[in-house]
Amino acid sequence: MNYKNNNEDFYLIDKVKERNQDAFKVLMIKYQPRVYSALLGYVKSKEDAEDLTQQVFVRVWDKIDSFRGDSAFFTWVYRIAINIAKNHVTSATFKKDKLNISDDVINFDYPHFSSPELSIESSETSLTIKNFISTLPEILKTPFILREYEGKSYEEIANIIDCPLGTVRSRIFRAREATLSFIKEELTND
Amino acid sequence: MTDINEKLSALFDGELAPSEIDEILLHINSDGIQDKLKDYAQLSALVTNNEEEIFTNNVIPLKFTDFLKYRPFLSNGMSAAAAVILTVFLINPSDSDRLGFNSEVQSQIQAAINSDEAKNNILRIEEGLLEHMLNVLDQSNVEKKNQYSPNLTNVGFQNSSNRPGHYTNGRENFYMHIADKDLGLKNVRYWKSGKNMVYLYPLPGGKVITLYGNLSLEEANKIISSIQIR
Repeated sequence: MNYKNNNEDFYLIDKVKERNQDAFKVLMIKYQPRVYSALLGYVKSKEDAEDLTQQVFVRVWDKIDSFRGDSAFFTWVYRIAINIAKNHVTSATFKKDKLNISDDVINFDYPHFSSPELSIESSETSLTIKNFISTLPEILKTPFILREYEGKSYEEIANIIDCPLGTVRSRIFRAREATLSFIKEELTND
Repeated sequence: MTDINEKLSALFDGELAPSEIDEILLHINSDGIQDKLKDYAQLSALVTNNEEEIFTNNVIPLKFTDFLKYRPFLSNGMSAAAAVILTVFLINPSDSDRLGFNSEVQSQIQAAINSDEAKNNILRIEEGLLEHMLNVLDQSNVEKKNQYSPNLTNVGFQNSSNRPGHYTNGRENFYMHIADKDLGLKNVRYWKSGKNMVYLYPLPGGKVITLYGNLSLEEANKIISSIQIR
C-alpha cells in the first residue's frame, strides 16, 4: 500500500484495519494528546474536549478502512477532529449525549495520563521541561531534539550524529526517561 | 523493563520493526505498559507545545503598518479599516507580544466572536481555510508540473532542486501555492505548523496565495510584494 512509505505507523494501521484493538490502543495513546490539545483550542472546555476526543477515536476506528495513506495518518485524524469540533460548536442540539456508539462497542479506556503533573494546558510546565531538556548532556539532547522538534527519523539522526541506529534509539529513550524523572521529582514536589 | 520501555519509546516514534511491534502488542495490557506509552505521548505533546497544531480560534487583531507597503495589490480591494487592522489567527500567544497588538481591540473582537452568529460565520470560513491549508500541506510533498512557480531571484530565493513551487535561499525554504477558489479570505492570516509557518494572502478576485515554510512574516511579505499576479 502506498501509505507504507509515508506513515511511520503503517504496521499498526494495517493491524487496526484487521480490527486489532491492541494496535488501536497504541495509536490512540500516541495521538490522543495532540487531538485533545487541538480540540481544546477549538471548544475551550476540557470536558467537551475530552468528549470530542473520544468521538474522534470512535470515528477513526469506524472509518479506518477509508484511510488510504494519501496524507500522514495524523493529518487524516486531524481532519476528523476538525469536522467533529465544527459540528459540536455549530450544533444547537448538542446536549452532551456523549457517544453514540454502535453495537460493536469498543471497550477502551480512553487515555488519561498517568502523571497528573503532565498537564497539557500548562505552558509553564512546558517551558520548565524545555529548559530541563536544554541541560541534558549533548549526546542525549541532540538526538532527542532532532526527533521531537525536527521530526527526523532515527536513520536521519544516525546520519547526522554519525552513530548506529541502535545508539540513536537508546539515547532518545534515555533522554525521555531523564525528562520524565525530572518531571516526577521536580514538578510533583512543587 | 528498561528493554521494553526502550521499545515503547521506539514504538512511539514509529521506529519499531513489525516483529517487535507484535511483541509489544502481546504485552500492551500488562501493568505499566500503557502508562509508559501515555507518558511518552504526553511528554512529546508538552515538548512541542504551541508548535504542533495548526489551528486555534484565538483572534488577535494586529496593527501591522509595515505590511501595507508590501501589498499594493490589496489596497484597491479592501476597506480602509481592514487595511489598518489585520486580523490574524495565531497559535502562540507569545507572538502577540512580539508583534504588539491592542488588547482592548482584541477583547472587543473576542467578545464579538463569542456570539453564536459571529462564531458560526467564522467557523464557516475557518472550515474552508483549514481544509485548504491541509490540502496545501499535503500537496507540498507532491510534484506538480503545472505548479505556479514565479522567478523570485529578486528577493533572494531560487527554485529548489527544480521542484516547481519550492524555493530556498539556503536558510529558508518554502512552498508556494495559488488557489483559484474563493475561500472568503479578507485579510492576511498565518498559522504555525510545527517548525513552519503557513501564510495565506488574499488576492484580487478571491484567489488565495499560500506560502508554507520556515519563513518570517517579513520575508513572506517581501515575496508576495515581488510577485505580479493577474
